[in-house]
This record gives sequence, C-alpha cells and structure tokens, in this order.
Amino acid sequence: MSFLLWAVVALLGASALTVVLLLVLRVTSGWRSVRHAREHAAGRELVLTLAMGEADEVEEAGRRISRLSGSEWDRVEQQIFALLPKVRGETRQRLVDIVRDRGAARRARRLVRSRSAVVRCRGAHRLGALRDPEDGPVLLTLLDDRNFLVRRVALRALGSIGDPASVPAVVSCGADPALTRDVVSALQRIGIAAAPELLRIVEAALVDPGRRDEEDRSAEMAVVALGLIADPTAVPVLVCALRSDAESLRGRAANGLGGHRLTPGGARADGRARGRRRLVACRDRQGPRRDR
Amino acid sequence: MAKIVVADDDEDIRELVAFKLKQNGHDVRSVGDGAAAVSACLEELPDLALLDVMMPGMSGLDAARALRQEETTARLPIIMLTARAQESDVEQGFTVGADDYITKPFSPRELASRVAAVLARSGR
Repeated sequence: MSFLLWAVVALLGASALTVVLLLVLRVTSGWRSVRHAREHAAGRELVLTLAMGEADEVEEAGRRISRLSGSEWDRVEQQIFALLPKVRGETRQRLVDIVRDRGAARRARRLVRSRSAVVRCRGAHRLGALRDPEDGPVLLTLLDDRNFLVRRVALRALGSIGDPASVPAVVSCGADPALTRDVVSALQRIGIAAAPELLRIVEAALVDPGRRDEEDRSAEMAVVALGLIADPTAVPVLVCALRSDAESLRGRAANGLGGHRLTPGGARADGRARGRRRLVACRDRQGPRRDR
Repeated sequence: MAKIVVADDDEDIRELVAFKLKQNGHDVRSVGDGAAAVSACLEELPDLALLDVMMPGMSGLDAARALRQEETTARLPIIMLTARAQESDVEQGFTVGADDYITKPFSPRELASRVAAVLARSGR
C-alpha cells in the first residue's frame, strides 16, 4: 500500500517537474527570441544606414560596425551578405567595402574548403556576392564538387562574378541535365563578354560531324545563352545552327532567334559585317545539312 | 510627402525600399503579397504603389490589373519592381498599366529618383 502511495507521489512529482521545466523552457525561449529580434533590428538599422544613409550617418554607422565583434559582427555580416545580391551601385559598394575590410573574402575562401557541403555552399555564395574575378579559380574547382548543391551555388557565383574566362567550364556543366537552368542563367549573367567563347563552342559543334553527345549538349547550352544574351553578331551562327543535323540544336537555335527577336535584319551595323563573315565561313565548313 | 504601398515577398527588399523612401520623407506601408497590396491600396488610397512581379498567391501583375479595375485606384501610379528583366516581361508590366519598371538588383538611389519622377508626372 505504502509502495503504491510512493509511486503515485513520485509520478505526480515527476509530472509537476516536467510542467515546470516546460514552462521555464517556453519563457526562456520567448526571451531569447525577443533578444534576437532586438539584436537583429539594431544590426539591421546599422546596415541600412551604412548602405543608404547621408554621408555623416554612413561614417558613424561604419565606425559602429567596425567596432562590432563576435556574434554581433557575425549577425551583421550575415545581413550584409543577404543584401548584396539585391542591390547595386553605391549601396552595394559600401556594403562590399565593409565586409572586405573585415576579411570576409579570406573567410569565404576558407569556408569552401570545409568538409560540410552546407558550409562550402555558404563560402561559394559569399565569394559570388563579393564578385572578385580573382576568386574565379576557387569557384571553378567547386564545379567538380561531389555535392550537387555546391556545384549549383558555384555556378551561380561564377555567373555573378561575370568573368568570361569561366565560360568553358560553366558550359561543360550543362552535361548534367539538373544544372541546365543554372548554366544558362550563369552564362546570361556573364552577358555579352561570354559571346565569343559561346560562338566558338557552337561553331566547333556545327563543323564537327564526329562530335560526342556532351559536345552537342554544350552547343545547345551555348545556343540558348546566345539567344538570351541577344548579341547581334551571334545571329548568323544561330541561323547556321538551324541547318544542324541535331534536331534539338535546330529547335534551340529557332527559339534563340525567334523568342528574342534576333534577326539578321535587326543586327547592328557593326555586328553585321563580322556576322556575315562568320555565316559564310560556317556554311562553307558545314556543307549541306545531313538528316539523322 | 507621399503615401506609398510597397509589396514584395522578400523582407530584405521591403526593408531596403521602406528605409530609402522614409528617408526621403514618404509614408510607407509594406506588405508581403499581391492580395495584401490590393487591400492596402483600397484601404489607404496611396499616392503610389511599388509592386514586385513574382509574389506568392497573387502576382504583382495581377495586383496591378485588379487595381486598374477599381474606380478608386484606376489611376494610381504603379511601379513594378522585379528580377525579371526580359523585354517581354517589361512589356507585360506596361500592358497591365505600370508607369515604370525597376529591375533587381536595384539601386536605392535610382529607385528614389524614379519614385519622385512618377509622383511628379502624376501631379501628386
């Protein structure tokens, strides 16, 4: 009887203790989130003032940010990196300058060597946000990363940096169908500077009858990107691609020409002469169309 | 000082835009989707609406269409703010009655100038 009584008392005691613990946890987590929200808001105010304030406010915000350390700085740095891809001009430059001065690029390069894929992604994202062409080689190595997400973030980062030297490596990632959109988007972001290399890839595919599937795929990516970039000098090569023996390449070339209103007649005068020479050379090498 | 409704599902963008516009003396109300933007505009009758194109639920283009159909907001100046920079997207924005188009990433200073220009054109 007395054992049963003690068991009931112990059970009631344990239940009461659990309820108290849960209450304490709830109250402290509430306090924590209020504190985090307050700290986030304070950091955000500083970042926005630095990015868009008047000259004297910017100077003061810069001074206060440079005094931050530990978790306070980490929070502010995170906020700045979240804003960088969304702004341009003077605002962006001010934000880049402050994180650079605090060694953000060096830290990001260290992050891409982490064992954790999430951390490597963060490092790649940060290097892309800083847009320093010197970080291109580091990002190119990540295109061969074992993790798909890391490869995807690296592609986007290379697109942000916009260095045409990365075009061949970016195009070759198109061999993975899951990365098609990222490849095209990266090439589009590199823009007109990517056009010469893209044209070379398409021309090589058009004149090589013994090409492999990967080369066809690269040429397709290049054709899509050329259509989106809307470089007038690309028109003759896209026209030439309409005569390709690969059906998918013909389709993509037609989309590139039609969807973006690229017509030989619409090409700018400077592009027209170069373009005509490319067209003649391309047709000479290509010969009559072969149907598969 | 103008009353401006800002609609964007990205909190960072909402804060950036609101900060810049408030700094220029405007009264800003920020919302996170197209339906909330329409409600806010019908409630507040602002001087200008800044709408993101891609938002969950009702898009900025749909919100602009809805605002153009209401008598009280039919002539409300609208600026579209979007990451979709293709010519056809811009054209679509103007077709639904947008007065201007700003592409992301954007320059806050340029945004403030465009807001001022649209407000001046509309005589508000």
